[in-house]
Amino acid sequence: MNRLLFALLAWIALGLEVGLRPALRLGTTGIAPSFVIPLAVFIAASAPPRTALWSCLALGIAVDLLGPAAGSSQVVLGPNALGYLLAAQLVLALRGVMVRRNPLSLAFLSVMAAATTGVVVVACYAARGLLIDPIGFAPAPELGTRLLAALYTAATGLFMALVLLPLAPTIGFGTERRFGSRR
Amino acid sequence: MARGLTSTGQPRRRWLSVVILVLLGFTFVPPSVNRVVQWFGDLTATAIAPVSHPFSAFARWIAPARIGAAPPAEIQAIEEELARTKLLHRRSEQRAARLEQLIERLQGGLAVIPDVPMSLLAAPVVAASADLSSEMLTIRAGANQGVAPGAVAVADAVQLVGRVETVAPALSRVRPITDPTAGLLRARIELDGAGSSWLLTQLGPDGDGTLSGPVAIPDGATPEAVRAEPGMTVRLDDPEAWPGAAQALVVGAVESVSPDPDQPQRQVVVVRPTVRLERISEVVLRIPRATDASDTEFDSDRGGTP
Repeated sequence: MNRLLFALLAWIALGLEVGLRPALRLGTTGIAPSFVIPLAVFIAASAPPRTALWSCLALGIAVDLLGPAAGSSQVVLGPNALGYLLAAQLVLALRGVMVRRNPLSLAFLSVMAAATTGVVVVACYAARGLLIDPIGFAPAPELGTRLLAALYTAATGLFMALVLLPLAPTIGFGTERRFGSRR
Repeated sequence: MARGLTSTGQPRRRWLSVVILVLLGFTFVPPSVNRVVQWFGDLTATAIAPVSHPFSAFARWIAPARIGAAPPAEIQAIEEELARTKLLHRRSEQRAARLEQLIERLQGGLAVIPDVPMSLLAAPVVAASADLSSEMLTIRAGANQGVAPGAVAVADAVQLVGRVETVAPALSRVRPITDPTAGLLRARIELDGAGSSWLLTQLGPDGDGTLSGPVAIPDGATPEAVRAEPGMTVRLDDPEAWPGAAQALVVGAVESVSPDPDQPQRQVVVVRPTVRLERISEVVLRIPRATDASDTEFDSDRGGTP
């Protein structure tokens, strides 16, 4: 994998995540799509397993570092990193049965990965709320918001697939490492 | 067999397991011992700012903070000037009232809180929080520009946005008053345009961009005689919790009034800020020149008015 190109794509995706995402919120709800999840899914669906796991872990750590959750002005390292790692494992398990090179595959896997990440993040913050300091949201409604946001992520997944899939050879994912190939 | 892979072709998970355990540990680290992570967070936000700022500006261009259609530039300038003048007037009134209280306290031998001058600093909003549950805004102004925790952020000349919570060398994070964890604030509902009569209320964020709270009915008055109405201006009046630089700033306008479910004789107001705080593109910081941000009284208007 071309690590430099991956870093550049991650930089842009993280910029979109904290720059453009608020404008895509549905009304005054917190339902907004993710731009980092589709990139993580693209990597996890195309790269060798070890590379996929470490890359998604790095993306999750970056997301953790970029956003304090409600109830805290400090960043908390861990919830998103673990969520992205689990999402990557999910994509690794599913990628063998997906139709390769199909943007819809990336959109579908993005929904699954975003939902997985949302569950892990809410669980981590809920546990932290019980053990360390109170959180600024009620876990059940927050989980609902994040699952709806996961559905919304299908839109960005589809859009980003149109950009990322043609980039696959450039980033180092040749024809033998496309969607549907078993590693 | 490739290096790092087991005989079954699976990646060697030892280091990954260690990292997972470390991350689990960090997840449950108390905030007081989380300073190193905060430093990396500031570093990441600074690294992302050059790419997030253009996207943020684009997002705020396609979805502006202003509620409703924007008036022509000339009328907008006049409206802002009028709002500033009203702010000065209200602040003078509040200051006079507090001076009267101060005289009483001085006569009682209590300590005097010093006058705190302030300076203004415009800062663009470069990013929002990456977490869906937070409405924190990242602005491009930090300790290098003299920003300190507790500085008050304002939009559209007089709309209170929130206050600075954390400061990095080049960036700061502002918690808007509509953030679900922003806490309660005390405010005045102006019953007339002159601001000569008002009702006090304590507002808390609802989580949908509005604030709501019960209205205190003055002694001797009946709820029918003094009623908050939709459209009335609400201004901050909370010297205990907010610095002087924030007093009399506009919290929003009353959107709806309803009876309190528990006490039907009392009113509950819903207040919406005049702009969508999560979509503002720039804030003006009101920074107390004194280092102690807890000084809460008697903001000086010297140099403090835009």
